Amino acid sequence: MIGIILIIILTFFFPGIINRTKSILSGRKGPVILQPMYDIRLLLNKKSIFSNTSSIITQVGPTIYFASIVTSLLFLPFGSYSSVINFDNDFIYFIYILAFGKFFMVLTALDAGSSFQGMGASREVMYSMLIEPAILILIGALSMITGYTSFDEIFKFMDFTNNSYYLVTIICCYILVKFAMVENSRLPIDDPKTHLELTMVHEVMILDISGFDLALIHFANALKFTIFGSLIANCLFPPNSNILVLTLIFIVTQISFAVIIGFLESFNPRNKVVKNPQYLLTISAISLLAFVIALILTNKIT
Amino acid sequence: MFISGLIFKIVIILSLLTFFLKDKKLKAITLTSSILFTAITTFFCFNAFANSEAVSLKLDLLLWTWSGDSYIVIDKFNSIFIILYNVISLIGILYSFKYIENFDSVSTKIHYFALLWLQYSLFFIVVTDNFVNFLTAWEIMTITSFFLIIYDLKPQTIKVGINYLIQMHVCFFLLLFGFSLMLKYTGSYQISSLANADMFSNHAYLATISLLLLGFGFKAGFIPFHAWLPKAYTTAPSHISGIMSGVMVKMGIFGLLKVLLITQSNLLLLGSVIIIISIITGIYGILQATFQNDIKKLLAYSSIENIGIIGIGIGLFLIGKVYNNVYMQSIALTAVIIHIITHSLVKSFLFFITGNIYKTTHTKNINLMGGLIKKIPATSTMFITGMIALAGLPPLCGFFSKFLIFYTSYSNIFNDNFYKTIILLCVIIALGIISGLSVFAFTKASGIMLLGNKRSNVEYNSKMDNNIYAEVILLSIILIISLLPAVLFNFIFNIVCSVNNIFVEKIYYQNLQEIFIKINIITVIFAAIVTIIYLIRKRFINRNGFEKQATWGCGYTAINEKMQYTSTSMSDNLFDLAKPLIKKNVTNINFKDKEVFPKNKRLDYKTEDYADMFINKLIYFGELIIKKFAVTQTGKIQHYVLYAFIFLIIVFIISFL
Repeated sequence: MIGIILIIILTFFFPGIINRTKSILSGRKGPVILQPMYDIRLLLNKKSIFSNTSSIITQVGPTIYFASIVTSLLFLPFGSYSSVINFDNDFIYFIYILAFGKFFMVLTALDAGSSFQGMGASREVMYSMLIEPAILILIGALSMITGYTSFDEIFKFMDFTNNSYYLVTIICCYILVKFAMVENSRLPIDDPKTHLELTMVHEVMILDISGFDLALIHFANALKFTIFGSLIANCLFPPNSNILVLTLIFIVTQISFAVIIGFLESFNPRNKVVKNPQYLLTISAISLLAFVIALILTNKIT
Repeated sequence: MFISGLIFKIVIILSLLTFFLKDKKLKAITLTSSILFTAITTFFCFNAFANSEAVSLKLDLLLWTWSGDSYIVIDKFNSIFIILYNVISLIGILYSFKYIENFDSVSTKIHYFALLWLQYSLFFIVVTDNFVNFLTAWEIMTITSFFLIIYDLKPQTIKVGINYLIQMHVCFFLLLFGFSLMLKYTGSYQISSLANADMFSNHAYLATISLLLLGFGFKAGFIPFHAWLPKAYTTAPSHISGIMSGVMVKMGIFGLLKVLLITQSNLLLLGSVIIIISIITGIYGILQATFQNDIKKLLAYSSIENIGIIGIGIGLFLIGKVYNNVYMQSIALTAVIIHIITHSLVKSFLFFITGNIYKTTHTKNINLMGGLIKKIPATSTMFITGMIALAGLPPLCGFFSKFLIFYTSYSNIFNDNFYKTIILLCVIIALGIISGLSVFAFTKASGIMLLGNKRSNVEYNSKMDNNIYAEVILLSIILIISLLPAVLFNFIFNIVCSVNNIFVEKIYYQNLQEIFIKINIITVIFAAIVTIIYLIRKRFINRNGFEKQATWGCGYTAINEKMQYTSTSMSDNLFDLAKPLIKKNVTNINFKDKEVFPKNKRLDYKTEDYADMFINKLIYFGELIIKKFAVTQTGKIQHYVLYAFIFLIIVFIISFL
């Protein structure tokens, strides 16, 4: 439970830290850290505007999307503390429940009958389809090294301090950062700051969503970041440490994750849209590398 | 047993009556005989579930007894299939009463006769062990399904029907050849004699098994033998497509399982080949589905994809058998059976729903539809539900089998065999890609068809939303299964273990059962979260108020329905990646350079299937060769007499040799 509470608390600061980093790097002072949350509060109290074309799907879609992300929180362990629900291969459910949310998000995008939202929807499903093998292979590698198949046990028995696991941990963190960037439609796949419909992915899907629903989606996206941040933190936890150390490492990891994203977004240009599939497949290829390392570590390739 | 024989006779006589009745009486007689048949066979099945031994019956009714005895065997394993297809056939018949308009015509009478006999033949395919009986029932299935496909008797339909008939007979002869080899080596008519691998010489055994697998693979629609499937499904009436994809294709899988469960040697080779073909089938099927604009074709290709997933499960089962891994064997086989059950139910359900949509819009082209959810809300909601189940997303039932296949793959990935690890890795990647693409294909289909505005000037009539009892029955079965995965798993797992004589420690399957119960708990939590957030949202929206406005057009106010995203444009993104696998034909572009005032132009996109193109080429060359022989058709009687004379001389010479 402590993990979930920390995740939710840190979510309030996460987008703010990214923004602050970006502003400082571009020579501006930048808004206060909590500014994105103030925006969300503002949205919560605004009038909703629905498209004439929209149907029941628009009414339930954002809610289901948000709920799917909240549900996926239950699977996240916190160091040696177990997750709320854990079973063998629980990460499959974790991935699929996120996909369920995405299914409704895409339907919501198509519901308005807009000329832009279908484009975003099409790109979003395609990118998450292409990134999915990367995470599956990565977990395969992790479960091969540790010999366990649930988030809980994998992270409990994954020992960062063990010399031979350095490489895998590094690749794992790298892929999780990239995965978080793609799932949240950040640079270099998509730039949430540019509002040119033709090049957007996620933002173009929510053009016709307003008020409470938009607040839900913004918060869900911030939550997604901290979920992946907590997975990264779990990779870095040293085994058998007490809760204070864990909390400290967790908070430091999340903040540095946000700062790293800020850095990446400041210095990375955006990909051409046609180049994106290639970029995503490269991530899968890197996770195959993790798998090969796992094969070597377990003495299958000698 | 006398009573059951009597009921079988009554059922057959009732089916003959369909020729003489019409309208309500025709409906009544069809329904009665179908229900009677379902009742008696289900009774046998429950008998089999209750007993630990298989129930074998001797039915004096069977006419084709010359090749040995006429025992039929009903055990727990085939009981699953019997109940499954009986339920689907029955609901299909119920649905057809709404779908078919003219109950007077001769073709309707033949249609119902064939529908009943399809149901009967499937039963005999499942229960018989004698290959002559098996093939006879198989042939009845083929011919009845041919009559069912060509229901509307349009020339195009008949062409597709004949194409289907020929391809199915290729499948039939492969089976016949395989079984003849079996007869030659073992001297037995029983299919189960395939288990005696030592009676064959080594290559002959592999040849026999491969021939049978090819034959059954043909029926199941594995690539590259799938060309008949999308055509037949698209042309047949919707309830027939539903029954065919839900039941008939699964007969191919049943045959595969029947052979593979008793195969003794070459398992590693067979398993690897099956996994590779299945992976190709799965990915190719769903890729094609993503590019289809015809909703029935999309569903047909998604059937091919699901056959691929089933094949992956079967392959894992064989690999587990090679390495003597009881857990892998039992779980993979359970996954296969659960996938067969869920896919049959969901796919026939979706075909029925598609029938409703077709009757509403009178088109199957997704690009022309849109906004159906406002016109036929019940049908549309059911369609989305079915699509979620078909994409294998939790909390609906499509998820369980995929989860089980992932479970076996991940649990066995840290074994000490390099080859096995690589195969399991391929399975994981393939399943990941397949699920991702299926989300793509099904969001595309449901989003473009049901949501947004109408994309063309087709007329909608909303009558089809009125009596949806057949669909509701099927939907409630799907929902019940979705809510009780632990029960389903336990039931199937025990049957699988008893069929294979596998002993699995109780702790192991209790662990899996607990997993399914936990999945249920998460489903409940998820539903609770959705409800809570929805209620909060409702309060906020009531407080803040809401307003309806035109869709955001980026400053452009005269936005119309022609500017919406279509099915073609949605899948176009993926096309660059899929180029090597998918052929796209663009037709009818004739823009002239010097046209000052261009007239209306039409642009058609069409994706083609390589297997289909190959068959077309084959037919083309066949026709060329046959045309060469047309020279002999002179129409003069003396020439024909001469041919007869030449023939006699040849026979005379050959008899001397």
